[in-house]
Amino acid sequence: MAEAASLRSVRLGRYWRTDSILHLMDPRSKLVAGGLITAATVVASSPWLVLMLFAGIVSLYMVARLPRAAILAALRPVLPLLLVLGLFQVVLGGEPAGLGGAGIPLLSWGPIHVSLARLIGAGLSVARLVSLVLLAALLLATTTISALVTGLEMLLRPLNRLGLPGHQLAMVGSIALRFMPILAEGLEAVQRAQLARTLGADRLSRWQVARNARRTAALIVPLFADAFRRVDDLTTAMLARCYRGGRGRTYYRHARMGGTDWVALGLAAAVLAFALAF
Amino acid sequence: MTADVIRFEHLAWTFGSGTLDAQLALQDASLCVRQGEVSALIGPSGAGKSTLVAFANGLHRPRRTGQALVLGCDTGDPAADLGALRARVGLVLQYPQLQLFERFVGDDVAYGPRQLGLSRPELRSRVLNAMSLVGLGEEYVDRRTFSLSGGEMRRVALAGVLAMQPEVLVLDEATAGLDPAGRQKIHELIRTLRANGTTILMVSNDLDQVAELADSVTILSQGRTVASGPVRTVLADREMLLAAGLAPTHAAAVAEEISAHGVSLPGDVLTASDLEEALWQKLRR
Amino acid sequence: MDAQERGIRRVVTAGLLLAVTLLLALTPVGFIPVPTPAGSATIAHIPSIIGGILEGPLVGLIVSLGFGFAAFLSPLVPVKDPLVIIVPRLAIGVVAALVYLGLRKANKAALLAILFVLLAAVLWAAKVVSEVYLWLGIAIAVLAVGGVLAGGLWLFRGDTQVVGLAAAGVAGSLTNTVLVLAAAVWRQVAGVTAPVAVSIGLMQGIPEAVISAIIVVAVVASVRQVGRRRGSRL
Repeated sequence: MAEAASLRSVRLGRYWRTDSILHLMDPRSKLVAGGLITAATVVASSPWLVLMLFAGIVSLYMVARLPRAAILAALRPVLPLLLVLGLFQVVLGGEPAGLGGAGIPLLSWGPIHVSLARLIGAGLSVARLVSLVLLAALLLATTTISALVTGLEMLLRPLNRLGLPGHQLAMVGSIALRFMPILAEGLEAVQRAQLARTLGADRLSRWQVARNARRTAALIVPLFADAFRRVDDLTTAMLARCYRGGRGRTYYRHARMGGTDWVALGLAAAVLAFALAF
Repeated sequence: MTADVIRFEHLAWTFGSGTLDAQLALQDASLCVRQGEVSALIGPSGAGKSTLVAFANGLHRPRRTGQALVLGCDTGDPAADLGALRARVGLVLQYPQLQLFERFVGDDVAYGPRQLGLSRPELRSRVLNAMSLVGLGEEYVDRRTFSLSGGEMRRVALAGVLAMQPEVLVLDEATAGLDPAGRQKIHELIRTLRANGTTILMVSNDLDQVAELADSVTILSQGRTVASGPVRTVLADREMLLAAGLAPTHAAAVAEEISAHGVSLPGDVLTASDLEEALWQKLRR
Repeated sequence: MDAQERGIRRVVTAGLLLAVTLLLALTPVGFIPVPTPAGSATIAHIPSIIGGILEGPLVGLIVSLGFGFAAFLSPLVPVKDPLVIIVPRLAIGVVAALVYLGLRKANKAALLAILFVLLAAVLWAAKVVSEVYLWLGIAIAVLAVGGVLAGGLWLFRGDTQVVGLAAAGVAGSLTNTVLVLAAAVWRQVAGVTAPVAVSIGLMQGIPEAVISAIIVVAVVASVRQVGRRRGSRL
């Protein structure tokens, strides 16, 4: 809480407007293909495969005609955590199989043994994490939030037939995304207002537990109160406008699957099959 | 010579500076408030008024350019004691009703002064005093905060700032969205506080209100100060007001309309009472 | 309130609580400084708990699902294994809802009995742990006895409605800690071995549970007007 920390910079990826084929793809196929590649990255065990996936995801940024800044912006917040995890891996992690004699320690210091295999293992898990972070950021960089929600809702529609409220789930998601910036603005106002009547240092030490808890309550209670006020307003508004769930609802935006979409889905499925096979 | 309580010089502010979606909010804003006066900051929406008043208690601090001196404290100095400053400068931001969080009204009003280490009776009298200033009686102390109406919550929030007994009070659009009676109460409050010696800076885009209440005025347009000085001088400059995206006061507009119909009235009509006076003079002649 | 309105209210409540979750998970506001090695405790799971308490297990489940997705997409969480990041979190809102529903009607005697059963269970767990790591077992036992003493004292001063809220807050928060760490050990996430998980659980899980209880009570008591206190502290 130094100067009222800006919540405008919510740490979710941002949308970059270009007219690449990735931007023109149907949000459904982007979601599904993204899911397939995520799965491939999680299951990939061979070092070469992990590196190929990483290279593939980076080259998708070029296909999407995103500036290099987009990659840096996606990675900057996770860098410190990645470093810590990488170090952890070097010291405590396992060694990837099939590297033969690379298990011999390069450096031994007390209980710590650093071997080439461990370095490779750590490098691989960092590369895997970076790939997934980049993939999530790529989806958000090439798809507007409303397209994402429409896509999710359409993907979940078959659930209706099973008696599960796919439409209502999507409704929950779109209400959340629609109101998050509004609540953020309110929270920012509250943050400034509380700071204005808070004495003492802007930033408390983490040992001042009671005062920290009190300052947090002063931010969080108004946030929830704001959310519940909006629940009442929105419920009334939806009742007044005869909202009846998904039945008979038409979409303002009609997504259409084109050739690119099917090619992308096929490629992603092939990547997953390859990762599972090796 | 009366001292300047707030002196902002050539301030600039960019939201999210250094990021990809940086947004320039202030370019060259200056403002001066003298001891004991009511000063108004006006400008069309988006001019940067709220951004500028956040410098008054160090919520924003000057970065590379400009200087912000408040009660002799240079907030650009990294060693400045902002905690002490905030005890002396009360800031009421827009939508103050959002800031309430305690279960009971009295506790919420007491949140600020409780940190001053006052004795219990002293604390209670401060809270009751602040509440009566905004027209809330003693029976409100034990009312549940979240059962109040919007207007009442706003007054509780205002009382929470007044209970700190600030030397300088900054009000950001304190009357926006209030009914005429509520607005009248805020006007009375401003007059009472001024009589008690509190220096007040009010943000507004209601020129009629400013003409009636303020001693001096600063006009902000697109992040720049375009005019400042005594109310009568500044608000009489129609070309400047129009260029800044503001309309003259109702009374001034009516006076102009009447003049256009061939009845010449003096050019410095600002408030309803000015207009009344001018018309009487005309009729007497 | 008819069935239709209740249905809409549920969807809307879940949506707004999910918005709060996203805000807490993706901005610094959701991390409170505490004196533990990690340096901060998260409160992003609290909307899931409150959703469960106010609107039942289904809403709790939906908000928890959203919390899992937010954590999965968050650039601050480098682990991207859905079985660690998403699946365990589904239980948060459900557990909180069930604990709240179970305790809502309980009287003080029943609450006290539950407290002692819990104490016995934790002491037994401490004995098992102490056979492997003596210091850890002793630490758990001391914390448990201290917690029960504090809880019992508070139980006699507070009222049962608030006790139910606090218990749901603690249960939901511990569900988050325990299940996510267990999944991390099971899936062999970088550097998380069983002893590491237990120590993270104690050092991170306990402060988070306490903070969760405080905030759940503060929010629900303010917004839904429960609680025994009838006036301000002036």
